[in-house]
Amino acid sequence: MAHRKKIKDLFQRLEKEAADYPLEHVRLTDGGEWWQGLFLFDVQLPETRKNFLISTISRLSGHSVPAGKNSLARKGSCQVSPEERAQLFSFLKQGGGADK
Amino acid sequence: MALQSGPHIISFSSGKGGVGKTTVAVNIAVCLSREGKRVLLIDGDLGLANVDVVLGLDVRHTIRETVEDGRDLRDTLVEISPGFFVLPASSGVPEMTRLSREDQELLLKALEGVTGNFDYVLVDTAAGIGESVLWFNNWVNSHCIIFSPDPTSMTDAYALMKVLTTRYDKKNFLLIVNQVQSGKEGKAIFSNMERVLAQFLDIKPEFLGAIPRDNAVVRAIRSQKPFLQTEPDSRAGRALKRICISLTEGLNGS
Repeated sequence: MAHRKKIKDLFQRLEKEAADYPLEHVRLTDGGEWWQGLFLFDVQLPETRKNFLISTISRLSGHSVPAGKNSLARKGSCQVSPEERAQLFSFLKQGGGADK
Repeated sequence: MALQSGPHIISFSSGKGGVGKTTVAVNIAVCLSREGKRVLLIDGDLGLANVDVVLGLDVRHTIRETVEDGRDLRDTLVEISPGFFVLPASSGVPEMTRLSREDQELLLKALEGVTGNFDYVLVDTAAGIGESVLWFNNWVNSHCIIFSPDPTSMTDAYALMKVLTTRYDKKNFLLIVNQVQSGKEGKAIFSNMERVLAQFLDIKPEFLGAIPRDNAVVRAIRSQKPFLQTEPDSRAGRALKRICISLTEGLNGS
């Protein structure tokens, strides 16, 4: 399956780059898309090691990894949208709450 | 980083610069130490440090020497008053804003070596959403976000929280609205931010309080002293003390 091959390729590249890091803490889980639910960090793994794995996985896969969620999310999802801005500023257009 | 059994480690970030982040962090540190707590204030703006300027310190050693020369971080601690210590950073050193993975780990270990002796560790981060800001925020337990009624400040604070939530799964946001005209304005601005955060990011921030525009703050900054020390009963001073109570009660779950 293409799904499996992508995972295998990613792991091979990860292994090459993270030779000194405990890859046994990285596990496959059930994800709908190949990039979903790929990783499960052991809770005992030091935070700095998790951070290294997260950033390496993120760079190799092209997707960001929210720490603690053990799954991947699409990159670029952090950009503030026009709808969010509109909601932030709607308050100012209503008078801003300042005492008159 | 989960350090629930150790000190409360709190970052002070804003997104936008110039909203009073360092001034607030310094005065909260002063307030906590006056309550008898042992407080460490880390200048997390590693390349453009300001904590020493706000406190009028004559700094001889900084965090930089730990990263570059392996100097023991305990020898860099500056005692400001009984129980209140500062870890100064360097100014005008761009290299310190983009530490290698190895240097980050070295600094992290060094910091963890000194934080255990304190009740509260406050990290005054740089402005923006650069690597060091995200790195420090990933390290702490709680995130104090400071913003002003300025639309650019609100946008940047929201953007920072969005990055921390989306990429780092951070949710413990404590909000302070600085430079408000009135308490009513501060509460209204918080409520608006709270609504947008709930709607788009599904997170519920905590309101620590608002600090009014006050010339007492301006005078204190120019004299390089905390306003809680120079004019403790000013409007800003009273607001800061209320924020300090909210912070300690919130962190201790009361």
